Amino acid sequence: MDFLVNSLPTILNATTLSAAPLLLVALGELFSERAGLVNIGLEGIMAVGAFVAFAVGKMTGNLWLGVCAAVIAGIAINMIYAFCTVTLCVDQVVVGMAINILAPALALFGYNMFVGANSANATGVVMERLSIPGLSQIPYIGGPLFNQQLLGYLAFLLVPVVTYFFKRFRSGLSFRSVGENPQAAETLGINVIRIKLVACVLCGALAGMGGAFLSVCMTPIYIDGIVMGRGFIALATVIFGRWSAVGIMAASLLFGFFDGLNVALQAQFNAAPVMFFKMIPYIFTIFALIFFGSRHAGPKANGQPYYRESR
Amino acid sequence: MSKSTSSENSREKMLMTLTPIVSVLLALIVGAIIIACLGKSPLQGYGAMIQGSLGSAAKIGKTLERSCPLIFTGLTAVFAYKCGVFNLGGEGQFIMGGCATATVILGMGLDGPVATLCGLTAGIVVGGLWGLLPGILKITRGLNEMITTIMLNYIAMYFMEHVFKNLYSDNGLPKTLALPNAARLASLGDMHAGVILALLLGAFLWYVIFRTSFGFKIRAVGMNPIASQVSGFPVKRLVLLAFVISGAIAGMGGSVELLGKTPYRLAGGFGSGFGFDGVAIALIAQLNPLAAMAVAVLFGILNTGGTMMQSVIGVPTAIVDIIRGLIIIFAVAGMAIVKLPKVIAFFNVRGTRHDKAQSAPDKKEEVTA
Amino acid sequence: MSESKFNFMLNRRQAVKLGLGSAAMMALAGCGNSGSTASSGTDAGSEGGYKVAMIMSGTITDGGWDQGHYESLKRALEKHPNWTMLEPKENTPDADAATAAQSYVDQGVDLIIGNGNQFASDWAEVVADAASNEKVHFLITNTDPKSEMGDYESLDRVETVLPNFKQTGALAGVVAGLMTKTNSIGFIGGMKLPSTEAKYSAFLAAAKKINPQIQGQYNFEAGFTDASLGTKLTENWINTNNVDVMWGDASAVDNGSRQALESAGADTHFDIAQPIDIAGPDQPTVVTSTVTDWKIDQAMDEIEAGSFGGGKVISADMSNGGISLGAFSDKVSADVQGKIKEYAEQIKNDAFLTDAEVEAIRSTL
Repeated sequence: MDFLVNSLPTILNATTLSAAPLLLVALGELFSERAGLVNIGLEGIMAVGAFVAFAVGKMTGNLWLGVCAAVIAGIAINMIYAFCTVTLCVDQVVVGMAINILAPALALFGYNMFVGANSANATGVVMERLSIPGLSQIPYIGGPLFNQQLLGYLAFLLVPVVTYFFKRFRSGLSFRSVGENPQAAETLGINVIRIKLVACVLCGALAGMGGAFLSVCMTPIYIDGIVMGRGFIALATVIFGRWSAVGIMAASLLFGFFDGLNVALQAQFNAAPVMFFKMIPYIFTIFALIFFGSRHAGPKANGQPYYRESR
Repeated sequence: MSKSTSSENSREKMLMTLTPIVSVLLALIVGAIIIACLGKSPLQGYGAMIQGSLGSAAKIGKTLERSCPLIFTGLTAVFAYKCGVFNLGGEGQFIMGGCATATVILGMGLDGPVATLCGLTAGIVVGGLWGLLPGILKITRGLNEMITTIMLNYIAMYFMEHVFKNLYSDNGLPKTLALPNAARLASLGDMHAGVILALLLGAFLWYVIFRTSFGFKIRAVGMNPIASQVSGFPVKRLVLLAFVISGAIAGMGGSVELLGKTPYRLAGGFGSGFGFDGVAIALIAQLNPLAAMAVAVLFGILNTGGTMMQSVIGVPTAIVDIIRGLIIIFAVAGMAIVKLPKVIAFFNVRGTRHDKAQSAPDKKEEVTA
Repeated sequence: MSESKFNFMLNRRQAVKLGLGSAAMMALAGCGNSGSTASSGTDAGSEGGYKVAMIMSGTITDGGWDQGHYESLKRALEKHPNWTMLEPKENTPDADAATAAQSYVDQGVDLIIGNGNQFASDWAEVVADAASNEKVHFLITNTDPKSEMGDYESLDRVETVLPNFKQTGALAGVVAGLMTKTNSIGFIGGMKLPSTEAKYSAFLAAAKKINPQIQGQYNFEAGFTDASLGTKLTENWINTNNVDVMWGDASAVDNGSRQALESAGADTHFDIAQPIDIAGPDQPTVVTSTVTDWKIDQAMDEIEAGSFGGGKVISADMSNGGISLGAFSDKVSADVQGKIKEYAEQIKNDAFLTDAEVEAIRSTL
């Protein structure tokens, strides 16, 4: 157990680092699901976001431009989803799967075009860490919490914003009513279609940003398969976090912790079959859902197409 | 009146079958535009694609072998979705099937037809069990099978690493020992017998789904579980069965792939991507097992031919992935467009005009006769 | 209302596209075959030179394994202007490895290179199918034909390349042994291969020879893609074991490892890169690189002379330039550089480490 104490700083660092992209993406999914749209295409949107952020960041030398471009690209990809699900009323899962197949291919194609044989383009830079004086000196939690990259801070700062939005704002309440009962919402004068489209824009933006985190904050490169199932884990964190921003944050942090634990175990027991350590985050996700994921907690009209005519 | 509705129906059916074909064409055209934008010749590229996948008997055999696992994972998705179960775990079940086959044959030192038979059985059983897990989680805890099956895919992938790196590694290399010669599937000309197995299975599943009462129940549950419950169908049991059977199909696919295709070993990348391809295939095929086999073969052509295209005209292979992605987007959107009330009305108006135009001369003919 | 109108219009537009599209496809299908025969005709016309193609599992810019192969091929081409290179096949999944090789066989390529031992098992059938084709030759790197090519019917036109792992490991070990201040060094390998273990054993053995106090940390299963895993692993070793020199064999993962070293302080934490020479101002932590050249030029020479094949092993070592140390960064003092060169000479003559010393480490893994 000695090694656990010694590796605690690494585990905690990994906790926030792994949690931040999940949190961004899961908050995007929260907007989407609150408006009754289950989007399982997150994995694909993240791949595009990661590539675009990497490429634009490398070209312009400004990582924030890269992040902005990733946000725009994420929205653009999610507009396919929006058009198919909101306008054409296609099954949401089906479109999500289609995006998961198409979007990574677009990202890989872009990478082939951008880097090709020019290895000078293959590596960018990562965002500087910004340490908050004083607070970052707190033992154990100081580093992980107060010595993050700006995008990481942004992810965590979004949590109170989103919570406040859904609790206090009129439009936040409209969102919820659309997810619970769109027909009733429409009779109350809420433009259901518009809310759903706004949800798609927000979801695409945040998922693109979450993807950008992978290639701008975590590593300075883009590589095919960089998302590694994080899009699906983000889906799980929304359920596990019971469709609340704070819950999602807790779920992401817990996932990050298990991811860090996996690495600490890998680093320590190098002769053991490390593939079992690598399973930990995925097994954890299943167990978390078994114990905390209830089917009754979500928005009631989640996943159902909305036909305006059937009002 | 009855005549006009039947012609409406047949028209809708025709539109629904036309949509995937049009989607494929559209996707190929977009692919051609991309290739042209890269300054390469799309004609030469697609020519190479056809040449590389269907250019000779041997190449057709290879293409069918490449399609074989996709037929299995495609059927996996078809069967599950027919029952309303979104099994995205085809890849994991496929991998576990392969692991089971390797474990049984290498672990027990089997050889000959006994090994083939035991290996296949083990693959089917373990694939089914790997499908049962998310089924139980869905039935008892209401867990969304999309997430659990994806997580189980990753777990299966790492478990396979354990099998080929630690349990049955070939001299410490990251691959298992090769299966004994006599245990491998017989080869029929230029392909292995597994392809025939896959095609037979597809036909059998079509029969089960559309021509048996069990299939009817499965479809009923998929269309409306609450109504099925009311009519006294054992919904939970049927859903669980759908999980198990679809898992078993994928497991059999993994088993066949291992027993039939060089290098007859498990190694990194075994089964990678087949699960999602299977989902795409099922959706394009509109959950029809026979159509799924055709789409799987198309994907096989895209894969083997795409490799050829890449090396002949020198374009990134990602173009083939983009084409595949576009096919599914176009197909999915197209089917929805066709179903939109406005569109149906549009086609019906034109259709009835057409009917009238056709029926008029018929009458004349009758008169003259 | 407006939205549904939009759909309606889009559908009509699509209907028009449909018509145009199917016409275009007819044309495509019609011309497709004639187009490809024309291309094979031109291929036959450009006869006279040799053609080489490479198939790889990752991308040529991965900063590691694949890039090392690509650069070796480029160097070989500079020495052999009568050879031309076809577009390399990147990101080849195992399921398509055989088809990819077949596509180059069909194009009349003289030398097909597979960059790693996974191709050894994937290609058995392609090589057998191409037995009647006198023109084509197969070169598979990092493969020991004795233990890894039992599936092959014939190795008549197959050769492999095996670097001298003991030399590579020992070179890195000497640098690590001389550079570490904490007597703690680490190694990340992408995959647990015999070559990975051999490299690490020689690495640690050489470092211990310099300073017996040195302890080694290792991970052989990091994969080649997850850079953030490299960061976290290295950070963990820095925190728990005080590791200050890293040597990597895992492409993108090494990149992540360098990030962790950099944030721990690039003046006290060093990385030895592999297999390409990347020391320079962009890489503050890299003190030097162990460079592998895959001796593709030698394979080309043999093909030209007609002596290629028979399952021979091309050995890449320090005597034929297959293995070397890259440039040093200014963090390595002239004094240390001198010592490294001295040891390197001993390693070259196999006078530095005995096989028993390496085996002693390997047996503990």
